[in-house]
Amino acid sequence: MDDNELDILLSEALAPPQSPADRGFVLRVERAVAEEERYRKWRAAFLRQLVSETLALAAVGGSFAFIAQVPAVEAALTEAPGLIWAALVLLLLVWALMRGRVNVLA
Amino acid sequence: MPPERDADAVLCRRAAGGDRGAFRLLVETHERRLRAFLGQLAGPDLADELAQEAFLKAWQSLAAFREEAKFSSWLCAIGWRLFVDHKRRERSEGRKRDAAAELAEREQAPAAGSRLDLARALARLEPVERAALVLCDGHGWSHEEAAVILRLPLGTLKGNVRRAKQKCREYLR
Repeated sequence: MDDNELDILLSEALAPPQSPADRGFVLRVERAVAEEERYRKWRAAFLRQLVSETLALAAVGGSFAFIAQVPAVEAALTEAPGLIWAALVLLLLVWALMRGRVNVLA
Repeated sequence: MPPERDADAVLCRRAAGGDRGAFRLLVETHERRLRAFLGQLAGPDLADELAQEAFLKAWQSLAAFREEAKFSSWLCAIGWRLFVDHKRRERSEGRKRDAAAELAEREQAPAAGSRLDLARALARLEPVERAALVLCDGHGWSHEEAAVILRLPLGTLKGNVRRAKQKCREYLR
């Protein structure tokens, strides 16, 4: 086989098919892209929520720490340490209610 | 800019803005070439898997696509890198058999003698030699374009094409 014959054979055998697009394959890619988009949106929403809730928690924690330093509050907490737990439970309840409301609104 | 490339550039811009219809048109235009290229490297089943992954990666990275490149060569480069990564994973898992070599051995379809021999000859090539030969002699890319797709220096690419042809010629003699 000479060079010319080999070149012809290669270009015929290795040329991409000229047939129309494979609808099944195109559909599969479309589905994969749609799935990827859904995941991307979910991840972005999750990260947004994580950041906002972390900031809110830090703000509330800071406020509590600040209030606890007020002499009258500090004295009350020393006499009744259960107040701290009551405050935390109340805070958790408010957070759960707010979250539920946000989810309902969303 | 040739009309085909111009159309791709417009579709790319639209797809980068989130237009899935535009991306669908890009998939319809380029899937045959990409799957044919990957099919020569990895066999048809794996080729479809890699091609789908390549399109997904293209969708995710459209914003980074520079229009001075052709979309088709950019896509082909993504497919090639996915194939190389797959081979690397396969090697690390200890599976060294080449899917295309297996394919040639399993070849049952009645083909013309020289075509069947050529398939066997191709299966004996190193993947990079096969890729260079398919791109340059089958898909009509220039050596420069194929070197960019395969991320090889131009001289190395030309050497791979020359070696691949030499091996095929020897096998088919």
